Amino acid sequence: MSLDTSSSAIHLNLPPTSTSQLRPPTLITVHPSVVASILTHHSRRPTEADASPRVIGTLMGSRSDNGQEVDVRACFAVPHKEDENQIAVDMPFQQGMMQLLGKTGAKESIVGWYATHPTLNAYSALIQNYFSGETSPHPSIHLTIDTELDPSGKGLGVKGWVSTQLGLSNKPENCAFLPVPVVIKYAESERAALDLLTTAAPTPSPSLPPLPTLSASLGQLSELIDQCLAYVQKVNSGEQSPDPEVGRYLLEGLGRWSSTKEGTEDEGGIKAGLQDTLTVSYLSNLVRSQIELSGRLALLQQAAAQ
Amino acid sequence: MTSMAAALAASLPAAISRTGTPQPSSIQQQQQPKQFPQRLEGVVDVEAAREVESVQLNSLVFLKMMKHSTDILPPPPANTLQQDRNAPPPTALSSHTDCLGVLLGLDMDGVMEVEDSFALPGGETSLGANSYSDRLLTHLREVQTPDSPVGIYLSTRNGGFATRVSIELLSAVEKAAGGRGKAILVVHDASKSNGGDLSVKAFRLGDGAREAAKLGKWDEKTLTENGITSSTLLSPLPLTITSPTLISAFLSTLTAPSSEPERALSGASSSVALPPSFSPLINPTPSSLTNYLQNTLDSLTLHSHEANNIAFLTRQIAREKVKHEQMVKDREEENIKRRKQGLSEFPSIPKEIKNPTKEPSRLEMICLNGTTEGLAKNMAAEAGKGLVRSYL
Repeated sequence: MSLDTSSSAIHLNLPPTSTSQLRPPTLITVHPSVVASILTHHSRRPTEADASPRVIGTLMGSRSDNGQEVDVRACFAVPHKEDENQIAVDMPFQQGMMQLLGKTGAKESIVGWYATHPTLNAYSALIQNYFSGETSPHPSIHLTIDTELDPSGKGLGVKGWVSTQLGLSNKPENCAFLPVPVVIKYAESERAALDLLTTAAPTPSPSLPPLPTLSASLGQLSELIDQCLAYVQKVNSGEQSPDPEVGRYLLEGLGRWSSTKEGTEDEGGIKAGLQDTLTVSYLSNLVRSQIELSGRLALLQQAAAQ
Repeated sequence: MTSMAAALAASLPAAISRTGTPQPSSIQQQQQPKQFPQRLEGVVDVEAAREVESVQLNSLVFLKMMKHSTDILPPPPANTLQQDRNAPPPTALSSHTDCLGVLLGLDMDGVMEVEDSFALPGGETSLGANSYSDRLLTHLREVQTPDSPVGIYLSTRNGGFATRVSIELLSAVEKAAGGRGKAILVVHDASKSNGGDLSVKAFRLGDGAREAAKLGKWDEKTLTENGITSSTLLSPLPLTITSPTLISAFLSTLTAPSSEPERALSGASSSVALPPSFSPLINPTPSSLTNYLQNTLDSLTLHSHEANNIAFLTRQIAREKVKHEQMVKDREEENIKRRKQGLSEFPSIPKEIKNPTKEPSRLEMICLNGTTEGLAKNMAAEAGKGLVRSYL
């Protein structure tokens, strides 16, 4: 589930190479709202000629206990100026924002920074150094998003990095960025929301009654079953060479289904469930009419008393 | 080299001008570039002649709302609870903190476009100058975020209705926006997401409620004058979601399969970030129905507690009134007796009671009414779903 364009890199979990005792993180999980937020900041940047082509900002989130996994939950943009000779980042702004955001009660702390340009240069190293100072003793992570909408499909890769010192002298600009895999993470309750957003435009209204989702799921399931049927028929008639993997998978799935289908138990379960659901339905209608009545009565009482 | 490192110090000026709560027309002027672009001139509604007819939510705001609803938040500070004799009994329903936040955007041509949002800490009741919202907005203004609050979002588990705190915040937004009935409330019902359903609705204050909000009083007289019940408190608005291009590109990468061929089917997890899920087909009725029943019962408990409070306060007011009238009558009789005897009279007690018990605000009651109704409706919906599944 990597967000990056597919790479053949293998990520090894090695003991720390620097003098610090902490290992760099090996996995970065990102909430989708963070990526959407970064893209929005990018599209809102001022379009004057002397402005830099990228925006930067701070990432907030939490770390796992051993520092291996970093969960990015929120972000905000930080104004910065960048040109040929120097780069300037508005630090009081960031500190002010951190203070304000700390009041919301969510347990988030600063974990790194992001930039919307895929290249890493000396300025990145400087900013990384500054942010490492903010997140110490933990190493800070850096996310880059490539905002070029390339027709070859390479754009919008989200890459994660950590930095290590490099070179003979201990200067802040000398560091190497090591890639870290990035993965989208969302809670189960947000699943329906994400499904809604990824359906074809125009997006349907978000307050969906439950039945259309049910019918959509049924439709998908029946499509998949049709596909399987077609495949099996083709293999039987000899048109397609059978793939043992597929066969084993299908067998396993079917086997699981037939073992759980107990005939009599289901029948009884349905009947009892039916009674319960009908009772609940009646109760809810009762409650609703009571509430409406009480609302009207409250108005009436006052009118009678006056 | 050292000058580059030294240049990291903030060279941007930190001068923040406090404009307090600016009027909407001036906000529009500040936000747009120096003059209105040609296409916007007919559309920007400076005199606020048109009512808001529908709400367009940005997918960024949508995702942020979802994220906020899954945060683990501390319970709200005590000053937000309704001041009454006893605290309401702790129920499973009230143990989930509601998530509130401010919506930022602009209304154009009758459509309220919501561009951004931020979360509010628990315990905020106003959006005036020097509040959390104001300070955050001054920061956001520097990164070209639209800075006019247009409404409130609420993510709650209580059946998809507004809460008292959110209505108070909504009236604060209305006041800040000039009181023309443009503040909107977007409610996300988090209790339904266990069943895989999504429920996000947009409302604005109903006509009667707007009057009451302007006065800031929600007692019996205003209720009857404006005919406010839980069903007329809010009027719904159609809601759509739009995505700017970059974000829709990003969203499509979530569901697109990778370009590499599937080598091992039994390797289980697909390489797609959002594989299709079949959770609506699972029949969870035995467990979820009890959840809904429990929630409805809890909200009924809270409702009866609040009703008790209001009854007590009403009785107290009646008692005080009777006592006071009695005192006045006694004083009058005394005075008449003394007049007959020719002695000096006592000063007459004024008709108005000093420091009376205040009329209870009925807002909490209305909101609880609404929540119970919402929960009951959800219960019915869940039961209906269960019926359909059994007959599949």
